[in-house]
Amino acid sequence: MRGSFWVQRFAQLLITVFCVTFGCSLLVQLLPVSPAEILLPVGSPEERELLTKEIGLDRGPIGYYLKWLGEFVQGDFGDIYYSGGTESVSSRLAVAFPRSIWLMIYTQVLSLAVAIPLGVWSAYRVGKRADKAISNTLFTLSSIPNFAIALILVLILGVRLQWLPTLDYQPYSAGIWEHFKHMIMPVVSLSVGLIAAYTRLLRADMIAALREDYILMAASKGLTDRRILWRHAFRPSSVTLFTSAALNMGALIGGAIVIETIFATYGVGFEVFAAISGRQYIALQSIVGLISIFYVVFNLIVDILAGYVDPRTRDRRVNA
Amino acid sequence: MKQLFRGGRRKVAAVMAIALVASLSQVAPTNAAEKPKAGGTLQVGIFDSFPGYCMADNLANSALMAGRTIYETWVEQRADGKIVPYVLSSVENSADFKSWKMTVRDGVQFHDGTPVNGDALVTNLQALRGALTLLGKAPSPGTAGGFTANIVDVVKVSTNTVQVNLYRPQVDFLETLYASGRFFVRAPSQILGGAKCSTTPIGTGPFKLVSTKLNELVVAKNPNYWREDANGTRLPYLDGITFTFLVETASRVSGLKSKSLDIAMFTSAGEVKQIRDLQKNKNVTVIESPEEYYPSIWLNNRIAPFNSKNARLAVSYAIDRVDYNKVRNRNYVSPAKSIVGPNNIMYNEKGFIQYDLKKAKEAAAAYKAETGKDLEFSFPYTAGSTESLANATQIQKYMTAAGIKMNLLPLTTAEIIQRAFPQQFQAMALLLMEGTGTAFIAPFVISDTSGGNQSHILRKTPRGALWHSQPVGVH
Repeated sequence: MRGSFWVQRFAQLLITVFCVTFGCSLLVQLLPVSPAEILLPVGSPEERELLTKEIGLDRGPIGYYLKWLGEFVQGDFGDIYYSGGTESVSSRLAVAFPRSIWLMIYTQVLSLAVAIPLGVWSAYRVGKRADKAISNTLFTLSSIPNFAIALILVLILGVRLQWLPTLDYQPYSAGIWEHFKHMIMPVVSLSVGLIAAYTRLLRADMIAALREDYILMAASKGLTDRRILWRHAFRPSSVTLFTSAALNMGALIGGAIVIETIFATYGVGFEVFAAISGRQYIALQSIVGLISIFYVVFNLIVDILAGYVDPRTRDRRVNA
Repeated sequence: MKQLFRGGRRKVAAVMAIALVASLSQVAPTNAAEKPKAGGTLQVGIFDSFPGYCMADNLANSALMAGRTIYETWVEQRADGKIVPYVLSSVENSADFKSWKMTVRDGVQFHDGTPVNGDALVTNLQALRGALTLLGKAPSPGTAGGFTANIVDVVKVSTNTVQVNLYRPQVDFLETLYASGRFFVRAPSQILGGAKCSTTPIGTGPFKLVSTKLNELVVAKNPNYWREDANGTRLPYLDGITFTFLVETASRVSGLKSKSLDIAMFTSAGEVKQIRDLQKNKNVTVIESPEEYYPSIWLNNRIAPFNSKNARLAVSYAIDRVDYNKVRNRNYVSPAKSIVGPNNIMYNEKGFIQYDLKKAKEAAAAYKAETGKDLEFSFPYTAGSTESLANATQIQKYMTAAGIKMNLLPLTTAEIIQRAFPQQFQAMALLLMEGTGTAFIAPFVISDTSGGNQSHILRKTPRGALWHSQPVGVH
């Protein structure tokens, strides 16, 4: 890959993050009342004036954004304002982010670990009974919202069988089994829909790939079906799958609010909800900024991986 | 102040596993055979978040219960309703009830090791009335400023004794000091602690802070707690408690059944079905609070549309309290007949408006004739709570039947409280008429934020009369 490719991708990353964060900061400026009044509803005019200066609202939209950005890149994500003091957003995120990251990683690992074999097998047996059974089952599962799956799991595994705890998050420090016990149901709830989506994506791409001439060539050379499937068909078929997975990584970090609420895992999704409902706009701006960074970084990683998985995509980029 | 439409409650039911009743109890056992087992921790699911612990941060409902493991009050309400000294050892009033001399109990200390004395009492009272805020030493008192506005000054008489002088005679000043369990004994280090007042609660209670977040409060045993049980064993028995905010009723129910929770709290208005189901479960014990609250819909008579009497009457007549009690409460409680509960000395059924659809429509038509507009208003409910939404939707149905448009606003409990006092809502549900006396209720019903004190600083804020409490109490 040429250097210009990296420069181009990095520039795209910065532009995306800039657009998202600047858009958020403009929203703060466009609020119908002073943000200081919202952040300090019981504060005195002097306190609000002080706050206005402190967060840079008196500097205009550009000045405010630059001040926020300068602090953001240094790891200062602003404060959450109470009637009696403040709490740093960083301290809240320090608790919430590990929960969301683990939830996202486990969900993706489980989803891909199940979806890839199923997708490959389904494509290999396309039109056969196994393919139909897998497709119909996945179609059914994909139509069930994750919160419904969560409640069913809670009822069966938590309440009836009492195998798993239904609430709370436990870090690794509480013991690996304790950690996993608390993660199983949230992860499975989030994974079911993703497994269905990933399997269907991979199946479609695999079916297309298996009709390519190079597959016919590989078969005519006497390669085993397993080698053809995994070595020659899966690799080029997985680009869409991994792109979709990358997009879901960002979504899972900030968007698992319903599952976080049901299982009281309270990660970044809850922080977003709390910032919105508590009108903590500075916190919201910073959290959204971080989530957008996750989105673009994951996409960049997938772009890079795609080049290795299927060199044709890399070559197309270079030639372009 | 308590807000809850989600928990438009008259009863609060605490549900706990039978096996844990003994370890929960902080009440002295009646005989040696019932000696409580010491140690252990509890997981408790509650239905309110923790917006903070400073004077203006109103812990609502179940979060207040959690907060009271850290905090105590200067006086306490006994089961018979009488207010008695608690962290105070004695209280004396002058013959004209215009001055109250209060002495702090010896040997009580805050969780940070500092003693509870006259200075601490002065700091607390001055912070509550906003005097320290004016000096820039403490954060805003919030609504406490209105409650304490009858105070002229607070004078330390001796190391442990303080005299409070009032503008007007007040026989129920101890009720004001109690504020329905909300005027906590806070450490001066918290009140004067600047940026940490809301996030670092320091009290005198049986438990002290381990950590707190919007959705969680973790407390651990206070080894220096001042109270003992009848056997001379120092309280509390438990090592710690974790309170978790679980907005969804289903999460609290499943938490109990799966034993992820030891105790959960439910409200009668929106969660009766779950309470009834849990009552049938042999593995849980349901403890119910007495019926004493009347959640009400409060109409802001300072702004349109409820600055019109016709609008207020239309809404009052439109609410079918009997049907609401049947649909939302499954007749778990009884329909309102007064703006306060039967245990309150203000209980009075006279003049309480009952459901009359015809009169509601007539009043709505009269409003239109008066203003040229259809009757329409916005109504906040607790975001994220399906029960709160269901309650609000039920009220909306009655309004629609009377030709009144009611728009629903999803907000957090804390935000509803914050926005209520600057009078940003046209109407809202409030659970405010609690307790047996008048001191906590009256400032909301009949006075403004200055508490009737003409010279009080809050007079400078032209907020005028607050919420007019139409007798539209619903459950």
